[in-house]
Amino acid sequence: MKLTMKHSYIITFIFLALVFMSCEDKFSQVVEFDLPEHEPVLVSYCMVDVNSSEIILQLSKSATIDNEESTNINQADIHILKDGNQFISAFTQDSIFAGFDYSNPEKMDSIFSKRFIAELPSSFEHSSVYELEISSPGFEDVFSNASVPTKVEISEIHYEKDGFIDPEGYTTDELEIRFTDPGSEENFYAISATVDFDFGGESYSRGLYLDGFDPRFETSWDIALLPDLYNQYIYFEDKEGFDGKENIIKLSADLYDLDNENADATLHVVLYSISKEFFAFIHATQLYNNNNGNFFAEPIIIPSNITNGFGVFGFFTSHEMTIQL
Amino acid sequence: MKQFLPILFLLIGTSLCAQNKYTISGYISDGGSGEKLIAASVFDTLSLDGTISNTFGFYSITLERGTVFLEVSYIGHNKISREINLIKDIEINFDLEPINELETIEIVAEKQHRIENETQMSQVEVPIEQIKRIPALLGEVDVLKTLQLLPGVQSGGEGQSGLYVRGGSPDQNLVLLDGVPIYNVSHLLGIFSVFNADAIKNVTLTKGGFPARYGGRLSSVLEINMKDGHMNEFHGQGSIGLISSKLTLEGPIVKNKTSFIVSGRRTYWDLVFGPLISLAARNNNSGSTLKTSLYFYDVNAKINHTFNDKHRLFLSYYSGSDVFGTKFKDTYDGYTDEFNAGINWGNFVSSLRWNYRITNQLFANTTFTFSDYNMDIGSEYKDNYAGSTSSFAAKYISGIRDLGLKVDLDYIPLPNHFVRFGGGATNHTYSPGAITLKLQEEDFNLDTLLGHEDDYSMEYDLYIEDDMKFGAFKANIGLHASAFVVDDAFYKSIQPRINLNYLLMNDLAVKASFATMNQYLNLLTTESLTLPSDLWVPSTSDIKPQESWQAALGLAKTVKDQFEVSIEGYYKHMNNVISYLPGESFLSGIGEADFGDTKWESKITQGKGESYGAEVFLQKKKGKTTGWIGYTLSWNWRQFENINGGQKFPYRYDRRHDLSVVVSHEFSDRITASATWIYGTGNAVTLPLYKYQKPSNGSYYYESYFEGLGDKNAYRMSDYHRLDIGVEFHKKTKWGEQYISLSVYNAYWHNNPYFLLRDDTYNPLTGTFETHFKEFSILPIIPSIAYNFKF
Repeated sequence: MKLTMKHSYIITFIFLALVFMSCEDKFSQVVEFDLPEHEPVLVSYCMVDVNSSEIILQLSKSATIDNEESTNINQADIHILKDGNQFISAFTQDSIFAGFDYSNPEKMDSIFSKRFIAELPSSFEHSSVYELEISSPGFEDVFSNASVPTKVEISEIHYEKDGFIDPEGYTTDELEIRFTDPGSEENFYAISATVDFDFGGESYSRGLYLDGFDPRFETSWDIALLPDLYNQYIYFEDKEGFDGKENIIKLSADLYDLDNENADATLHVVLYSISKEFFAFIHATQLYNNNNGNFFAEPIIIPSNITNGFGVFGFFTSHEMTIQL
Repeated sequence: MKQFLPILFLLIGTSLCAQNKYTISGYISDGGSGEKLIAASVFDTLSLDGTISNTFGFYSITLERGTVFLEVSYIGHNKISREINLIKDIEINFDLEPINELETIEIVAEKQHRIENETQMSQVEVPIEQIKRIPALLGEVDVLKTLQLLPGVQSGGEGQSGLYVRGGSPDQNLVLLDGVPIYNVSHLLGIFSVFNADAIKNVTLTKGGFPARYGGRLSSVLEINMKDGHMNEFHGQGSIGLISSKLTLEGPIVKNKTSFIVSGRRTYWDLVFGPLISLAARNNNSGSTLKTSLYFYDVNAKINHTFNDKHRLFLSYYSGSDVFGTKFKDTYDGYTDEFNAGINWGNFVSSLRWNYRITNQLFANTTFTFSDYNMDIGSEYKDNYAGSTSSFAAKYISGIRDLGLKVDLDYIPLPNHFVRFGGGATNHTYSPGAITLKLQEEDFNLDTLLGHEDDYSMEYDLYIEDDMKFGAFKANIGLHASAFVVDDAFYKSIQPRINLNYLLMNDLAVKASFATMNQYLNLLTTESLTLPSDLWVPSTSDIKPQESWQAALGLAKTVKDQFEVSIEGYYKHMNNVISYLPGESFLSGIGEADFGDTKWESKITQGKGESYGAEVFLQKKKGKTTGWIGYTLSWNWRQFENINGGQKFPYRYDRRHDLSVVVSHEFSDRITASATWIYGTGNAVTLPLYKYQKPSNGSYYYESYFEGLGDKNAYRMSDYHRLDIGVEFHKKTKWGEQYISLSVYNAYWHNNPYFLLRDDTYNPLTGTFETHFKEFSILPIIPSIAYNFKF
């Protein structure tokens, strides 16, 4: 068919009609994926404070992404073995508030996690290997093993008012911590600091905000498996220049709501030696929380050392030093 | 490899021992405009020896003394035949008259130009006139979008200009505009490219078998040459479209000596909609003003001057910029608040080239290059009350700047040897992200720069290659050597390059190629989309250069003088490809204090890439109906120690099937129509499959569950397919020609997925939330109209 100018007018008319049609709002569509069925597995968090008199294990189960049912586990058989021999097996249960279910903004249910608690029969030893075994009806048994990290002690701390100048030129207090890394093994650390003081007849305890302004240090708030609730931690590993020698760490310290003229303040600095698995878990969790909702970030997989399950099993030791400010 | 060089020179030396040979040399130009013609054929029908012109239209052919019958031809131009009695070296310039504009599509496939006779494989040259015929998004002819229709070349997604060539990423493409690298080739976040088709002479894409003269990128070389400017007459062309307009002017400054071309383009959504937005803001609140800026512009300009037959000078210039911005001001009760925010990015590119014909067999081109890409994202807030002003401004800036010098020599001692050799040096300056902060209050002032200082590096390269012909066997064999110096790191590389062509019976050619490539520059980019905030960073002592080797094997043939058919299989292996570490993105570091020695290197990881596949290309260049069909079957993998548990995973742009059908038909000398249909399997995505509780000690600031991911990129978004149609109505006038272009993008309005989000929808019937995945598309059916003119 030979096109003529008459055809060109018809084509132009159709074209203009399309211009108006194109304003319709139709920019999305729901798609269905053949997602594999997720077989729930046990999720266990157990970070053992070797200085404590009890061991706390948080147990739950995984679920499909749209599951709204409770993910708590009410019945479980938990054993901790030491070098292959039974060490702890008597656990009692309680619940702890674990936040809100944001997956259902209409309801915003509170979530309570089940905890299993046992008293320690004796102290944990650095030279032993500890195995965690958990079984629960309807789930594949999970296992893990971990060792107690070497306890590293603080040798000295100094606190200097207005002793730190940050790269922006602001002046803050300086907290100096000395410790010696044992070398010959991988070591992972966390530091937190708390100030106790009296003000207006009341006693207060506040966590310090610490910052190293150093790429070797990472900061984390609310590491749920360390004791100091609401504290901010510095965490780092020995391979970042601390391995096998005496180290002096200088941190910016901000007593942001403390009346600096108050003289009766006690500073508590705690150096945690944490297991490698725990360090990796903290790092990944921090990244995960920082990038929540960041469409552009490379997805994060939370590491786990729980065979057949998720979570983390490990140990930490701590050494605290106190000075009067 | 060291043994290879003496053999190469021995071959050349032996060939040169022949006696009684003389050289015919000169330039081949378009008879109308005077534009030098690239790869024009010069063929002696008696000896069956031939050669082609180089990038600057220079040719040289050395033949036996006696009678020669030269045929000089070029696509879209009338052939010249001349009998010459060759008894000494002579210089002859040829001016080929172009075939009528609308008949350009009827291309005569001269034997010398046939695909089976080309040594180089994995290379496509798309004539500009053919690019202009293809229906375009919003009527804006786009070079890169046309290249995405070729086999082995993919787009990143709906509306994206980035090229993913044989499994590579956009930073692995060497994009040269008149010999100068351009770093950001996109306007409007990838919807358009920076190349104005009206200013371009030719476009050549090489996907594999890279000749030794190219280096620095792993996956492709896109060479775009600007027009030189009409040597004899003033001409112009332009268009007025829905989104942009452009105008090109060219002509002589001194006839047959000096010419110029200048071409400019600008969008004008802001000029049309900006006043409406401002009016709406004032209507809502008479104390408010709102101004928006949303446009891009670019300018291409070139001057070339011919001193004499031996010396010629070219000065090229490109400048383009994208501006997104908003300014809001509110006045009430004596307060004045102002908020400005914007993102700007742009390229500035310039080259000065000197052609020197040293002898009738030796041609030199010396090029000084400058390329500058920069980007900034900024915001400013000011408030004023009772004469007291406070303000805060933050701006994130990044970019890369190159200063280079290179010398390229063409040595054509005999018809069966075309030797190219040369070298260059480039100084790179990187600004990989810094933040300026300004805070001004009554009793406080802050003006500081946070983040990285500029990094510097030097890159050097040397190469030699020989294009050889021995009867039915042809080869291009070469060596590319490069070195890179940055801070305390020094890298060097020797890269062999081989292209082979053997012509079987019935004009069927078997081709093979092998090439190794090195890349010292890296682009930190988010996999999901190309953004102007993507950072160019150098290899360092911690970040090794990217490397690749690629092998290809193929067949090529021209069928019935009309159809060019090629089938190629390839395998490419890449080392040290980069990716952001889990949790990191281009936002990492922005807005945070970036103190001390914080390095971008700590945010990325390096791994391996592997891609392989087969490409089928059927092209018709002759007749009233022309076009092509391109199909690619491919696999594309990545593997990083820190991602996906160290397991291999499909690259996001792993597209199993990719099919393009491009057709153009000339109904009459006044009406032409065209259509393209594209199909591709969907991009790979990672989906959350399960969740589990986070640890708790009685309080929580964040959501209480971790979301667990399935294997990386284990799922596919919906397939992509789209039909574009276009028609042109031409009319000759006294002053030139005008035509109306109508086109429809996505003619049957298929919602092609751009990104995927999880959507939790409340079901009132069950009282529960149901999880679905929703694909979002951004470009619906889009008709456009443009008025074009030429004089």
